[in-house]
Amino acid sequence: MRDSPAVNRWIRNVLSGSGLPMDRRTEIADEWHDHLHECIASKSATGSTLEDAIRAALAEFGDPAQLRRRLRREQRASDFRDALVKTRPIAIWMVGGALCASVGAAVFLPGPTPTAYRLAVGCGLFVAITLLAIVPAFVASLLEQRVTRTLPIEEFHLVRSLVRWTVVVAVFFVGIMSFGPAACSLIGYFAQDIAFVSIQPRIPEIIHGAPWLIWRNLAVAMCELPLSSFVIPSITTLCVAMAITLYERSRCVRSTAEAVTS
Amino acid sequence: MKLNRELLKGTTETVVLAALARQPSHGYQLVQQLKAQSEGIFALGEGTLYPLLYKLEAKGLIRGRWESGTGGRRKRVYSLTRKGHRCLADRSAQWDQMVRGVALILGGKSYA
Repeated sequence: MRDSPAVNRWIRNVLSGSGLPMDRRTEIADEWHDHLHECIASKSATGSTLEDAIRAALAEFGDPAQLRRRLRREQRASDFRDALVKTRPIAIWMVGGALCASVGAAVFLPGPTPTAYRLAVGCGLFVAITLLAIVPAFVASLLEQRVTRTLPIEEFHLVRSLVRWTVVVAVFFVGIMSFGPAACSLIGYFAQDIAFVSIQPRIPEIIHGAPWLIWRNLAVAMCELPLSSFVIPSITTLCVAMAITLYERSRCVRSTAEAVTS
Repeated sequence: MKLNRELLKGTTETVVLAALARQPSHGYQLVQQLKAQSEGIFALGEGTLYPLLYKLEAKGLIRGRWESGTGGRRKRVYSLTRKGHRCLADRSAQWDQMVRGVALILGGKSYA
């Protein structure tokens, strides 16, 4: 009864489009097999033929398409939760660090602009740039789960390793490269501010016009970011990730060979 | 009388948690147990129950483990985790409050 082709086909049909990982599918298939076995046995005990019992048990279990949709929805929600959990430490450290740096810069660096403006712009700039590092990490984490889910076990480790290291290196580079220009642009802005003040005697007017100057500098800094921050780091990221992956692969092959010979 | 679907939706998780708190069970047993204990009101379909169990498991409220059953068959038995017990206590308190409120509005009927 356990290997009834109708039951097997039905379960395979539901699970094939569910988006669940392979090991999870096997586990669920075993569980449902057991459930249907008990259900069919109880129906057969009441006098139904085996075919009728199977048909009734499957009908009771539910609509395959609806069940598949529910499993897929749950899996997506679970992926999202996992990705959030993985990205949370990066987010906390980077946003926290960015805020501390911007507040420190705004409070301690000299300049004629009111501290409130400097704080607001510093915080906004740093958080925006930091998000550039967190969002790719989150997306990559989701991708890692999607990509590795349906692979056989030996390829799974290789691909997971590649995706994971790409994410780690990418986050590192994007973080470093975006923090650098951001900090430079902010410091540069303050320096420009001081120079501007020193050649202009009408300080109150300059202070009045300062917010516009801040936004102009912010726009310039944001425009300059992609060129300086993304092209070289992207190529370097890929190269480093590939190198680490190849190293991991060779280590994996070596340990497998050692296990075989021993 | 068939219960309104929307009304059922909010309570299904709590009912399943309560049933598992009373006794760790596998899927088939849980379906039968809910049907019998609720006198047929909670006749959950397997298509509803299993995704719900997986969701609760992913949230860490219940834990499933394989146990060998009769005839060499393995069964996945679900039980409540500590987090699940806390969640159930919280939801039970909310449920009591809601029932009291609804009873008062409906004209002082007692649902104890």
